[in-house]
Amino acid sequence: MKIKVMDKVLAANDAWAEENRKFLAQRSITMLNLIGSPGSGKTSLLEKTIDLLGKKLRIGVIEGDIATSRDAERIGKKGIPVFQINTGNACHLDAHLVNAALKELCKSSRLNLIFVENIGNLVCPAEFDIGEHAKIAILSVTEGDDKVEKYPLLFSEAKALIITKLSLLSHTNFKLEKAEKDFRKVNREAPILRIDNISGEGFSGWIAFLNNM
Amino acid sequence: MHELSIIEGVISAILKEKERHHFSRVTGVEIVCGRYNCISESNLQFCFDAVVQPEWMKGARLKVRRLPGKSVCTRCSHEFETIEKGKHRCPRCSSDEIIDIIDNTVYIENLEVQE
Repeated sequence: MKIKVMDKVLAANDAWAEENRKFLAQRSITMLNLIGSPGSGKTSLLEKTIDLLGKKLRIGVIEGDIATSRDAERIGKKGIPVFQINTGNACHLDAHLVNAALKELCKSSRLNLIFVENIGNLVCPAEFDIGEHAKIAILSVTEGDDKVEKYPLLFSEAKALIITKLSLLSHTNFKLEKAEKDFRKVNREAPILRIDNISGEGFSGWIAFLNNM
Repeated sequence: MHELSIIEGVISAILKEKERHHFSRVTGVEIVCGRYNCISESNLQFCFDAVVQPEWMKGARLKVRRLPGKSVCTRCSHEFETIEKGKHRCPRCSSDEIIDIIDNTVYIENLEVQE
């Protein structure tokens, strides 16, 4: 006998994501979910962003990693609230984990912008709604220009694509036009921002994007 | 291991249906997902077999059905089934300015059960 179910498989996660959205709305906090490969420049992007915006906005960071609190220590040096989630073996952050981190982070600080640095991975984090306002896809030129085509889910869901390590472009065979054309095939509207975390090139566009959030 | 989170959802849905329909055994689960969801039938089955506890749930076969991808022509707005991702033209106006719509749905469509 067959029973019709039609239940979303991640219903439990989605309910927590809704909780998180309510939690953020009550406190007028914007939360962004940064997703990219290991070594794509997510933490460096945050460091530079905090340098540029840390005085104007009250920023907090949730760091997701399988092991170590290295990224949280780097961010902590900037003097802003940071909470480390170690998933142990899970390849993504889910809404329940983020809920606990949000409560902890907001206990003693009034924030207006929270960055979640997801586990370095282009696959699984894209499948999980954590209650964020926007997913931001980070892609470095050293990873190769075929990644947008290979991992369409993340790039279709992103509200911005940040291409990092621009100063290394001439040392790679990464074609900006190819990556950006592939991106437009799955994402019509999200802006594409080319930046360099070390020199700060292109950060004005990123800061303008954040100010509009 | 996002398969484990998915299996968690599958098992709680089975438990919920069991309360409602009082079947004696579940033998199959049909899962539907978008064309580009990173979900593999064999990985899901492996996780399910590894974590499932109740005797009446053991041995159930998981089947994954992928929805066909959808594409939209940005010139004439015609919507059609994705032929080959990124490499096709609009069947109506031949434009190559095509957007592939990526669907992130994963849901359980049916349970196969014994009364």
